[in-house]
Parts: sequence; C-alpha cells; structure tokens
Amino acid sequence: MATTARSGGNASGSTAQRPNGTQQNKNCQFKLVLLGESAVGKSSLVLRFVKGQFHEYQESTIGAAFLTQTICIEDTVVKFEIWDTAGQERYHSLAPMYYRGAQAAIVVYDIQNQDSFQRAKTWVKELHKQASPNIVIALAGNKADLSNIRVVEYEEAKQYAEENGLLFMETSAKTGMNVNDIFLAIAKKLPKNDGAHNQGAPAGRRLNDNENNRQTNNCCK
Amino acid sequence: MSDDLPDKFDLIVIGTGFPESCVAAAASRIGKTVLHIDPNEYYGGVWASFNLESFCALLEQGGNKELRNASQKWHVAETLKVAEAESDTVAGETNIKTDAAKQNVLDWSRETLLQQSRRFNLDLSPKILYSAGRLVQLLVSSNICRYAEFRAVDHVCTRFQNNIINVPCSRSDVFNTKDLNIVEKRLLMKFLTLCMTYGEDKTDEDALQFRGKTFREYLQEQKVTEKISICVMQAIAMCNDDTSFEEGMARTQQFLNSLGRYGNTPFLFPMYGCGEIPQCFCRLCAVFGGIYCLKRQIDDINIEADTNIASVVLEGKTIKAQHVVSAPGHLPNAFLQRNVGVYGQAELVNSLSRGIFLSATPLGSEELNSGGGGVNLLRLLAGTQEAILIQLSHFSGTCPKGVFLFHITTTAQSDQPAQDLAPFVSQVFNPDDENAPKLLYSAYFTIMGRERTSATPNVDVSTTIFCTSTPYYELDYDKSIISAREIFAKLYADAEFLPRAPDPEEIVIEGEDPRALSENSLPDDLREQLRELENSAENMDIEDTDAAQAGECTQEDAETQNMDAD
Repeated sequence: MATTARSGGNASGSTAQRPNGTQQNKNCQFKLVLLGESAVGKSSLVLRFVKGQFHEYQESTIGAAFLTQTICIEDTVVKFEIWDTAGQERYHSLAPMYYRGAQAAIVVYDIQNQDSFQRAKTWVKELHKQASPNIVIALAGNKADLSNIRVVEYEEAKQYAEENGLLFMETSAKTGMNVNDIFLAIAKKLPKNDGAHNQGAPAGRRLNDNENNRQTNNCCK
Repeated sequence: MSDDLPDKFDLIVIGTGFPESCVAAAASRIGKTVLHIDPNEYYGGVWASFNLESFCALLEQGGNKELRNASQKWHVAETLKVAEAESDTVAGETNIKTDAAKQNVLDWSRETLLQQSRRFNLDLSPKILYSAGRLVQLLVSSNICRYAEFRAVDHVCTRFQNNIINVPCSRSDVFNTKDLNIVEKRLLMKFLTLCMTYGEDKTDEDALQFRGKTFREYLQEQKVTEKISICVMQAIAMCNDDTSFEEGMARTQQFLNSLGRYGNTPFLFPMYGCGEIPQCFCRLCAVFGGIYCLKRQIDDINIEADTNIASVVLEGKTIKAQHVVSAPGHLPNAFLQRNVGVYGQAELVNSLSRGIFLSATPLGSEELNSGGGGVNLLRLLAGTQEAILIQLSHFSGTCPKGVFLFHITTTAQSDQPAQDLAPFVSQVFNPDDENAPKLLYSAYFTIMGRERTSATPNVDVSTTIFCTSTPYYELDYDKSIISAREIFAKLYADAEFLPRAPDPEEIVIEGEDPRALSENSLPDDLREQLRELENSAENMDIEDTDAAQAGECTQEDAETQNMDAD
C-alpha cells in the first residue's frame, strides 16, 4: 500500500508521526548494531547469519558493513538491518551516529582472548550510556569451536550477562553454532506490537523511503 | 597508539567537519587509501553537536581555535528546591497564562536540565536542507542517505506586525491558513503559479522587463499586498531589498521545487542534529576502508621538494601521503610559520555569530506548535542584517520533551556575538512580552572562519595540501558541497564524486555469483529517482507539489468555487 509522504490537507498541518510502512501486517524492522574488538568475528557472525558462509581469512570489513536479513517468528516478519562497525572501533573512534535508533546490539568477544572480553564489558557500558534505554543487548562469545583453548570461562561470561540483563550465547561463525539462535533470541525479545520504534522515541524518516513511495503519490496530475 | 598505523596513504584528512568528511568519503569511495584524523575526541569539529554537559564544558573552557568569544548564562535556579522557594515570593500573579508559563520554567532547574544532558544534541552549525537541494541530492545519489533519518520542517514562519505567522507552503496550506484573507490567498496562489511557470518560455515578457531590476520591484509590480510581499521576500525567496529579479526568481523556484517531497514545507532537518551529517560521510569512508583516529595531534607536516609527497608527523610517527586535506584550524603551527602567506591568512577571522537558547515554551501561536511543537524556521531581519532562527522540539531528537531549543545564526559583525545577535534576540525573547518564550539557558559564541577573499573559496595553489572551508552563512550546505567538490576535483581530476554505494542486497561476498556486482546491472530505480530530482524543475507544476488526496481535492474544489462566487 502507498503510504502518503504528506499529511494531506488537515487543518492542523502537523507532520508529526506518519505511518512508515513497517508496521502493517506485523512487519517489523529493527536496527541491530555489532560491537566488539577488532578480529573477534563480528563480520563473520553476520556473514554466517545472512549468507550462510564462513571464510577463515575474512578480510577486514570493506564495502559491506550494512546487511539485512529477515526472519519469521510466529506471525511476525522481523527484518534486521545489521550495522557493522566498518573498522571504526579499531582506534576507539566509533561515531556516535552508529548507536542512533538502534533497537538491538550484539557485543562480541573471542573466547580465546581475555582482553576482548574486558573490552566487551566496556562496550556494554557504552551502550547503556549512549544508546536507547530500551535496547536489547546480546553478548556473544565467539569462536566457540575452539573451546579447547578457551581463556574466558562460560560460567564467568554467563554470570556477567545475567547481572547486566544481557542475552548470552557462545557462538561459532565457523560451524554456525548458535548463530541463528542468537538472532532469533533477540527477535523474540524485541517489542513487536509497537512497530519498529521504541516507545516515545522520536522517529524520523529515510530519504529513499520517500523516493520509493513517490511514484504512487502523484495521483492528481 | 599510532604505531600499528600503515606508514603510507593516498590521502590524509585532518578534521572531521562536513567538507573534510565529504572529501574523505569521496576519495575512499573510488579506492584511495584514506587516513582520517581529528585532534578532537569527537566527530564534526565546528560542525559537531554536543550534549548539554559537553557543550557547557566547551564554553566554560573558552571554546577552542575555531569557536571563540564564548559565554553562557543559566536563567533558572541551580536546583528545583530553590526555584520552588522563589515561586512563593512571586505568588499573587493573576494572569493564568503567565502563571502557566512560570510553572513551565519552574519545572526546570540547572540540575534537572543537566540530568537530561544526553537528550540534547546542540549543533554548533545548524542547517536546514532543501528537500530537492544539493545535499539531499548528494545523499540520495551516493546512497549515504540510508545512514540518517530526517524530520520534515513543520512550519516556515515570518514576522508580520510583531506577530509570528505561518507562511503557507502547499496549496492546502494556502486554503487552510487563517493568516490570509481570501483575496490574499488568490494573489499568493496566482503569484506562485506564475513563478512556477516562469522561465519555461524564453521570450517571457517579465524576463525582459525586469532584467537588471530587483525582485522587490517585480513583486510590487504584481500588486500583491504587504503581507504577501513579506511572506515571499522573507520566507519563500529569503531575499533582501536589493536582491536581483533573477536571483529572487531562482530562489522562489528552489523553494517551490522542494515542495511536496517529504512534508508540508520544502525543508528537512536531520534527526539528532546536523552533527550526524559529517558522521554519515565518515561512515561511508570507513566502509570503503578509510581508517579513523580521533584525538590525534599533528605535530608537523613536511613536503618533499622533489616528489611533493607530504610527511605528516603524527604523535612522533611519520606517515607519508600523496595529498593532505585539512580543516583550516588544524594545520600545525610549525608548518604554518614556515609557509607564511602560502596558505592564505593563517589567523582565523570571526565568521558567524551564534546563539543557542533553551526555553520551556515554544515561539509563536498554538497553531504553529500543535502536537507538542516541531521544527520551525524563521528568518529575522534587523536593519540591513539578517539572521536564521531554527526552533527544535524533542521530536527532532535534539532536546528532551518539554524543552524547546532555538538556534540563531547571523554573519559576525564583531567579536561580541551577543551584541551582534541582540537585535534578533529582542524580537523573539522580549522579556516584556508575556507570550515570548521564557529562557532557561542562553549561550553565545563565534564560529571562526578563513577570510574569504576570492570568488573560488578555499582551494589552495599547493598541489599537495588543501584547506577546506568553514561553515558559510547559508541555510543549506550548497557552498560547502561546492568547495568540497572543488578540492576533490583538484585531487582526482577525472574521478566521479561519490558514485552510488551498493545496497546490502547487491553486495557480493567472495564465492557468490560475481555477475551480480556489475555496476551497470545495479537497479535503475535510484538512478531514475535522482534524474527525477534533477529534472524536477521541468515537471514543476503547482498541482503536482500537492500530492493531493481525493478528499483534499474535493475540499479545495469547493473552496475554489466559493472564491469564484466572491
């Protein structure tokens, strides 16, 4: 259906909240951001989830950094718009716009790397400070296929996650273990009756959304 | 920290303001290796937005090289308790409206405002975008638009006989407005229709008759009323008494051309403030491999005489680059001293006088602020000076609910921004006017810039180092985009400036069918939409701007008939 780009001729002339086309038929779209130290496997997790692939020597994220994947839970179609850090985290220079309007985050660490786990805790703190208060956060202990040489114990991470209200799973982008599950768990936890937006949060519009709708709007030539 | 950085890049960009980020993104997009540094710990430089606490701290420390003459004042008590005590002493007021306004003020204290600090995004250089303007076109054509969200500006206002009135933008606005009588409505519609069709016929009589005259003279000739004249001059064409007929007509067309795209007015404001815009460009740069380092000091830059290659000394480490692009305030002193005169005036001059104001009540009537207020635009005049006022509500993501944020910007006349802005501030925050917004907080500062002497702004003769431009006094980003493009063209003469980045669906990961990556097979829809944007002047038609719904048409038809009956 065509969502009108304009509020029409009502006397108030208010352009406040318009339907944005994502709320009908229980279609939800969520922005999900990935966080974590370099080389913990953020991009690999997404590639496994979106494309079902894994590359042992995955290049640092170039050109991608923005993927989408749709999953269905019961009667709801959930579309994830997945944002990768594009390497901006490497020198602690991640732009704050990255967190804007994010409804979910996966904070990734490498179970073989204690520093990456400590760094993950810093990211969680950062999210609590910077992101929307309703954000759903999942902690992913990646490279679980290498659990024989792990340094971060499962119980330790699980306890930390529980204390901070995070979802937690150990994942392996290489074998696919728990990859779909962690996204599914997030999707389940996200509020869906409310459409794509958090309660009371200001909602803007994308420029290209309008361009897509525009063709159908010029009915009165 | 800098140790593991590569020691060679095609381009080093210093500063993460709008033009620097534009050039960085464009270079990275065509495959150049880019190192993007900022001496600040935040993105955006003089184009950044701040939360309230950081903003206060920045002013407290007296600003920086690019932001000077800072002052700030709290108009509310330290904490709410004290404020309540004060309210007892002023009891006895009878006017209900004043009481309500006072109550609103009392809901806030310095403490409660600072508690909400993170809900503020205070722009140093706020801008408003034309929906079909240069920046919107660039965001769409480059596909950077997917990183940002926007809010359509709710009302374009103007001051008429000490009142702030809504300038009707769309056809339905014209019919619905209470500020114009029926004769004025017809005159305005007639005039705008005339402007729309102007230029289609090259032998247009008006074009010949008014060549060399001012837009104001043209308006007078059209026999519009004073009110219509003010609406057109102040809000639609945004011109002065001496603006030429051609210029005024072009600006009117730009306004009309941007109508009917996203909202009731032809303007957009970026959600969470304009500080997001450079970050979007930085993200594109990073996505294509650009490396980002904030909080890095540049000690010096040397240019090898024979090769023209720059050696940038970054916290003791030397990094080589074919080219360096820098914001004017970030070139190291040692370098400037060795090159006096080569890079223009080393000393920055006063460029823009800025005021930021917080209030618990909005500006203008209830009608202008229905539904809790939105983003309103108002151009102010004082003698021969003009200023742009932007009112923002919490819907723009720049302030908490219950607070209204006002930006006023004018060209700097002196190093006293409060004095430069006083004639405008008194028009909107007059303490004797009980309907005027009551201030909670006010701040003034000067945005510094380079002296602009030549017609081609800020591109240096050097073939290695280029200096970007600081914010211009302009509503949109037009001049800044032009100057960024100029720098890019000097660096990479034949390369395309920010070609469309692929959508996620088009990205091919190793192992997938590579045919999908062929640039030519990219969906035509975006390209077509862009062409539409560019050619829209041709399709321009007042019917068209009003994405009219059936019901609306009927209502208007009825009104038209009424008018005809008159």
